[in-house]
Amino acid sequence: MDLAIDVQQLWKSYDGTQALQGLSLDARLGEIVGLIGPNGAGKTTALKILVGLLRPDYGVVRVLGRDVLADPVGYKARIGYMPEAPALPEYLTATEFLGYVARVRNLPKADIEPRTWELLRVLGLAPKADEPIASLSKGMKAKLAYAAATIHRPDLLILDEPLIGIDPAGQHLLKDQLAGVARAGGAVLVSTHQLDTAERLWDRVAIIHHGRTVTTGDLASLRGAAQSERGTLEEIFLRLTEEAGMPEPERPKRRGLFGRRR
Amino acid sequence: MGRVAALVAYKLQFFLGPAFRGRFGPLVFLGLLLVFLPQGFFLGFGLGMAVRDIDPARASVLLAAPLAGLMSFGFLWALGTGVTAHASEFDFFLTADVRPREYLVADLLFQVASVFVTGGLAASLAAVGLAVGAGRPILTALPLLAILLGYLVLVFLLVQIFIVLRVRYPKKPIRLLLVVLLVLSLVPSLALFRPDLSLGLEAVPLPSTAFGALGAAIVRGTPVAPADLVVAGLYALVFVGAWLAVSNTYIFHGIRPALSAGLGQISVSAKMDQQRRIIGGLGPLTTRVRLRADRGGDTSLMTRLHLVRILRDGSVLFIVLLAVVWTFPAAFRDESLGQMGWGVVLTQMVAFTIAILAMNWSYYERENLWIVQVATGSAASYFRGLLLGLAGIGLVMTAAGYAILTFSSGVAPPLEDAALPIAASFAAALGATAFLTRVRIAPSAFSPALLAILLVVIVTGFMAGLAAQGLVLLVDAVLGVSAAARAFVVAAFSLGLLAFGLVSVTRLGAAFRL
Repeated sequence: MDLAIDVQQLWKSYDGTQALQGLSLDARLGEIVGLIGPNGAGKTTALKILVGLLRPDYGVVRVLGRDVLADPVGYKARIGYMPEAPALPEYLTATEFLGYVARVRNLPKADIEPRTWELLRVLGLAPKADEPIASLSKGMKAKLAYAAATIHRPDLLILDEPLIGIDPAGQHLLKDQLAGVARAGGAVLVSTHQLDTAERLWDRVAIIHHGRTVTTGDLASLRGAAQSERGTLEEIFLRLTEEAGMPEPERPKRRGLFGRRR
Repeated sequence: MGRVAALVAYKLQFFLGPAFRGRFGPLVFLGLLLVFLPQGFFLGFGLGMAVRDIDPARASVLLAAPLAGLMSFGFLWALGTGVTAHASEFDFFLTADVRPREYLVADLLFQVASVFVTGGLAASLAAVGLAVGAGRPILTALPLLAILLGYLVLVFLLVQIFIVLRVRYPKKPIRLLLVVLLVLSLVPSLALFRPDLSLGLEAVPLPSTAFGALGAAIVRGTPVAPADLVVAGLYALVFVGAWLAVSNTYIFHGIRPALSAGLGQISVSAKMDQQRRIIGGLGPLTTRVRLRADRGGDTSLMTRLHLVRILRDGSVLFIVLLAVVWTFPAAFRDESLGQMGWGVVLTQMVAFTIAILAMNWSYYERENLWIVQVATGSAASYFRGLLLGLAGIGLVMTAAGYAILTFSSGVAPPLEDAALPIAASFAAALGATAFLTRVRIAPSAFSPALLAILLVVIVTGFMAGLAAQGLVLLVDAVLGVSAAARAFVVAAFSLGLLAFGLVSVTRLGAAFRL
């Protein structure tokens, strides 16, 4: 399978704190990869680098075959992103917002309305279509953010805690949607704390801790890594992250390689 | 009492702490205090001279006017939240076994302390000014300050009484009563604006006139009338007695958070909540104007996006209010127009509005740019839209101001005056937009960026406006052309400015990063 995400030796620091310390990660087209790790492990930082909202200090980031550091814009047309706590223009209605995102995503004008309504219906947002986002519930806002991430039918979806605040029916719906994306040949990278969901639904899981990858693989290979024959993902996660401990501080060989640091 | 002290300390730390943080905080805070000192002194000095020269009854009414104003603020405060609880107090203190009276005492102490920390110096100098203006020893200021403090405590007690009543009797028309009292309490304040107006209030035993009479006697150095002392004492007894009677009523379920940020700070999340309520409340009205994403070019879409935002998030109400407050006094007071010219008045209004809208953008809209950034990587069209939206608002305000001023004076102001706000609208919008592409404004009155954006927007607005005005006058003097030709010069100058702005903002926006 083709690699949708290929991250190697990713380093990133903020104000002297190392958020990422040599993270490596990959995801293939047609699969859903779960990114799990304790709070502060570097999940959101990694995702923000993948979507171009942050620049790493060092490392290789290839998305859908493109080096995102060499060409930081071209690949964006093929990715969709849903942040953990999406800031939404609450003064717009749901239809206006999706229309606006569709325009920013360069959808043909004639396709904007049908695609908007298709998503609103699928996600159960049609009854609230013409109300300002400010009046939507937290779960509805999350669904709307998901709709915005997928309005242009991306090949790669990058989602940061997409299930937070969504009711069980909504979560079920969203999981179905993600499975559909993978079945259609797309790739999905999901950061989550919901280990039961990750265990049941994601094809592979990458466990990260202190800004580096502890292990990657399906449940069977994770059990192998944790030397636990029948452990749940939660048990494996706890054991591996405990064993990983705090890494020795290391420095990448080259720093400031990519110009302006952020 | 230990718990009361802890509550007061928490409140003071929360409210005043941010002002003293950072390198610039204490300096700016001190600067703000010092700015108001001369005003305080000269206000007191003027009042002192007036009190010395008029008859005792009128002097009481004159000094009662600012006290009545304080009472009006009290009623307004009681119509709102009335107590200064922060959300964290609800979570951690009001869920503990704090008794309502303990909390109310702490709140009272905090309110009095915070008023004196922020306005105490100016009030002290006003009292000194009163004494000096009336030709009395400076130490006369001390009893005057004591009267002010006593009156302030009574006002806060009254506010708390009304808050308890509102919570205790939610179905009684307490708010209506407060509105009536608010209107009535404004009447004595008229004496400040029209000292010649006699309403016969000196004969009415209002709290403000009783305390005003005490102050007038001290300022004039005459004996205090026993009747005034009795009335003031009776009010104090009634307020304290009523407060003691109601202050143990449980109210924590019925009060709302009032403090969302410290002095000079802006709580973005609290403001967002407020905006959410405004958007929800205005929704049925404002969503009639639709953002049609399937129409127009990129810049057009972004311009409409910004205008829809300003329409729906309540900013438009602010713009209308500001225009009314700014324009009407200028329209109906010929002397101010004679001194400044209406072009300057409108330019001030336009530049100030654009600066405020730019700050609002930074606080509430900037974060939404992730949508554009993850899609295209360039925010050029977004910022072009912001520039056009702000300039458009400036022009609409200029046109509205022009109409109001023409209507009120009956004469259309000259074109060279119009050139100033027209060109300023484009320049101020350019200054604001360019600034926002490079600087993130911290939500604090003590933020250097906040002062900088005000300066940048107002200075660029005025410089370009004066340049346009100068150009029109030059063309007129050298060529002596018609009004239409001069209007063409203004339009050409403004369009040139706009073109320059669009090119600049495109470059700056392309390099924007969240």
